[in-house]
Amino acid sequence: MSATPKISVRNVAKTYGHMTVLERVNLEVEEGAFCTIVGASGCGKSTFLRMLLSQETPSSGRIELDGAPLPGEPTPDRGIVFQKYSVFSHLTVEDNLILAREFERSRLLGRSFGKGRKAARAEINDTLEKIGLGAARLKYPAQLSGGMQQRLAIAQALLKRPKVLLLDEPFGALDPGIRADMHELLLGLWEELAMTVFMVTHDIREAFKLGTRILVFDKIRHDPQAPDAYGATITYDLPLNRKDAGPPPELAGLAVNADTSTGASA
Amino acid sequence: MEFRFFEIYRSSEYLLLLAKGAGVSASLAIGGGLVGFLLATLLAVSRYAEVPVLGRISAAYVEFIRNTPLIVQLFFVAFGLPLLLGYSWPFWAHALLALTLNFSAYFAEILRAGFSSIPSGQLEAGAALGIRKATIFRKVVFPQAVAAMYPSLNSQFIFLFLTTGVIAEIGVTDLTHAGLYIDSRTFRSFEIFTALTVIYIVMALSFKALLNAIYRSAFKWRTVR
Repeated sequence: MSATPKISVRNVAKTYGHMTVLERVNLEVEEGAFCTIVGASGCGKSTFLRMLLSQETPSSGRIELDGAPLPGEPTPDRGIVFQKYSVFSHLTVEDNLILAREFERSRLLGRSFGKGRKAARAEINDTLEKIGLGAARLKYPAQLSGGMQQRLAIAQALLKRPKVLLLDEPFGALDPGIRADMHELLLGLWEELAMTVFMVTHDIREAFKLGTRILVFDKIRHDPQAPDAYGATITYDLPLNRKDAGPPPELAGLAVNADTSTGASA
Repeated sequence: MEFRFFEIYRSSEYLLLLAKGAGVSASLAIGGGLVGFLLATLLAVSRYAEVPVLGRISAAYVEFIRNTPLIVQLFFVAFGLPLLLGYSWPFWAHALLALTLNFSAYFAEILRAGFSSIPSGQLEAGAALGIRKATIFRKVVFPQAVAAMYPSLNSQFIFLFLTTGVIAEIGVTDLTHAGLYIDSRTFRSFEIFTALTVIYIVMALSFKALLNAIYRSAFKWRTVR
């Protein structure tokens, strides 16, 4: 606990009109952590990820990245992979990645010519090899399997060399065999690229297998008369040791580091 | 009753008239279609992007055109507006302007539906990659929408092509005009309108084949498996 936490979430709440989705969310995450996030459907896990991406803004509280408030819009240092195939179906694998680089180009006010373009192409080929899509460079997403499409989505996210990778049930639509392959791929990339990862999943075993830390989102306050009055928060925040695959029963009892007692001070 | 088709096909004058008429019909339809599509894109974008004022004007324009008969629009452009604005163009230019305005409203409505049909996930994916909105529209929404709506645009174009016959009413020597002329000279109504029917069918099917070929080469990703 020496370095400044990479991401700190301070008393964040998110409401839509009268509906509270998240409340009193507090979290400090070290650089290089692999946080898996589990919780019931509709409890705000995806909303939390979208706030980390700046696609949503917290209704109250703050999120800091390296000690500075989160920028107001998605930046290249944060990448995301959605559950449903978010690749562009009208572009080839290669063109999907070229489009993903538009961001840098538009910032440099101009297209990359000559040397720049060659370097860009080399970088794209490099990423494709890393992700195992080298042979499918010129194929369209419709010609790829679900697993390959998800790999392409990951490649898109990685192209920006993000420091934080956000994964919203990335393997939810894949069958178990491919899922295991994707786990290996993801862990390899995580170690190689030294990213901080947040991954939402509905698969508890997946959460324990991949994470160095697991976050459980749940509603702890209920008002039967007003079901939307209270939102979910982090109820369990456990460090994981990947060596023992599976939830250690004695750890669940110790899990009290939920930080829910700080209350509404914002 | 005796049919005398040879009165048409043995007369080089009539054949030439029909050929020229077919050329005029095809050119005006293609010209009106292309310019109409560009105009339709502007109309549809201004509505899709909810551009203030301009979006409203586009909506009103589209409703206005789609709820008035083509022939009235044609007369308005050919005889009404020239009195007001004092222009005097050749007949075909009046026809082209009227057809362009007419095509654009129908295409705009189809395009707008196409833009709205693109799943929001595609927009979010683009936004998550940090791509600017205008670039997302240009590189993701527009190509996907045109591809999705291509069959509708295709059949709308054929339908509009077949309605271009009304431009004969303002003196444009199109295919229908040629037919009416030959009919008035020979009184062989059955023969000449049979001939017109066949020529229109052949032209419409040719347009369809051409547009389908364009679809297959421009939107490969829709057909690969």
